[in-house]
This record gives sequence, structure tokens and C-alpha cells, in this order.
Amino acid sequence: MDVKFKVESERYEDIEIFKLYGILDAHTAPTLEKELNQTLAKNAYKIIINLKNLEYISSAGLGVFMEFIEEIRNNNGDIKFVEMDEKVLSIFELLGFHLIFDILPSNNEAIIYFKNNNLRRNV
Amino acid sequence: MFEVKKSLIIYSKISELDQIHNFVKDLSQSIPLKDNHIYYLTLALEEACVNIMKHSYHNDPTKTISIEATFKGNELTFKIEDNGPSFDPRSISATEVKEIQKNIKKGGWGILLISRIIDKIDYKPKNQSTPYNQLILTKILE
Repeated sequence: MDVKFKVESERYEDIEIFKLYGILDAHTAPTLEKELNQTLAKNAYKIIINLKNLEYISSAGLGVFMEFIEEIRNNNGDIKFVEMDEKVLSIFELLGFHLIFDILPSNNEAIIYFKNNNLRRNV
Repeated sequence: MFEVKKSLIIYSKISELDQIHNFVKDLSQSIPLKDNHIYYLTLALEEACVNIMKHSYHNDPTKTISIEATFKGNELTFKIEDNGPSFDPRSISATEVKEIQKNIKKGGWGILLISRIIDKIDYKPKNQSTPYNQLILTKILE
């Protein structure tokens, strides 16, 4: 059976890396919300979201990141998006979210950003 | 003139959104839709239906939403009907990206996405002769 949405996570030093698969819509967004809640509860605020296998995102999916970004940045963390599909990128651009977040080519690039303490601030 | 009409009725439940994905994919079998059109139109329909589910039906899963797609000439029109309290989504469409960025909080971007994807948005609140609210989204396909 096809899975509509899936999240996998791994840890590199103090950085949490999430890989998202499938469709992130109003139906599946609560799954990601739960994962991020658990991560923040562990005081882990350096987060990479790998979107290589994400086919679709709607405003409900974007809302999950916006819900947590303030708390994350207030705790010297950030969310970095990597390997974003062109269609998903176009949704970020339609709403101006590409100006709020770093969108990077790979996990490695994002890790280097975190190691150099290259964090965005709350607006 | 070549004309295609397809319709779908879903319950006011978030889990019904899968049917919208399938509906647009199915539509693309009869209409020359590009890959990114499939994505954008699915997104516009999801945002519209989620707005109705939340604001008009208050997540009552026994209520229904009807979607009728009509393709004629180069226009693809979606007529979305519900019979909850009228809620004109255009009333919040003036929200600009800069304001959204200033007020980082959950929600509010759905109607903005619809307005950026769809070429023409009409809304007709229900009345005595038509007991359904109608949201009409028109996309011009090049």
C-alpha cells in the first residue's frame, strides 16, 4: 500500500535531520507537527528538513514550520530546507517564504551553516 | 467546441482531501494539463475546501462539498458549493505577503495561494433561489 506521507529522522551531532516523503497537506500536517513537537521537547533546535521526496505541500504544511520557527529561533536554532523540489519551491516563492528561510542544496551545506552559526533571526 | 465536465462530492472531513488529488489527476486525462497545473489546481481546491470545512462547516463531517469542473475553450472553471453559513473568502484576500511575514503565525495563507494561482475568483452567497454558496474559480490555460 502506498503511504501518503512519511517522516524519517536522523541525528548528526546536535542537528536533527528530517526527511519528508509524499504529500504534506491539511490531512498529514498533524503528523509532522507531532514530530517537531517531540524534537523541541528534547531542546533540539537545529533542524534540517530534507524535501527531496516531498511531492506536494499546502498552506497547512507550511503552517507547521511557521508555528515553530519563532520558538526555534528564540533558542538559537533554525530550520534549514534542503533538496527542495521545484514545484514546492514555487509555493514558497508565491508566499514569500523563500525570504524567511534558508533553502540550501544539500544536508552537508545546511550542516556547515549550523556549524558556522549562520542562523536567521526572528522578524 | 470541445467541453469537459466532471464532478465530485466530498464530505467535510480532512481525510477526504485525497479525493481532490485523484479528481485533478483524473481531469488531466481529459484536459491537456501540465504537471505544474495539476499541482497548482489541486492546491487551490484543497485550500478552498479546507476553508469551507473550517469556516463554514466548523468541521462537521456529515456536511458535503460539491465540486464541478468545466473545461471550455481555454478556461477551466471549478464551481465549489456548500450549504453552510456564507463565507466570502475574498474578504481576507487583501492580506499581503509583507503583512504575513510580519505576523508569523499559523494560517491565513490559503486564500493568498488561491489568489496567486487562480485568474478569477467569484463568490455567490446562498439565497432563496439557490440554497448553496458558490465559490467559482477560473483558471485560464495557455
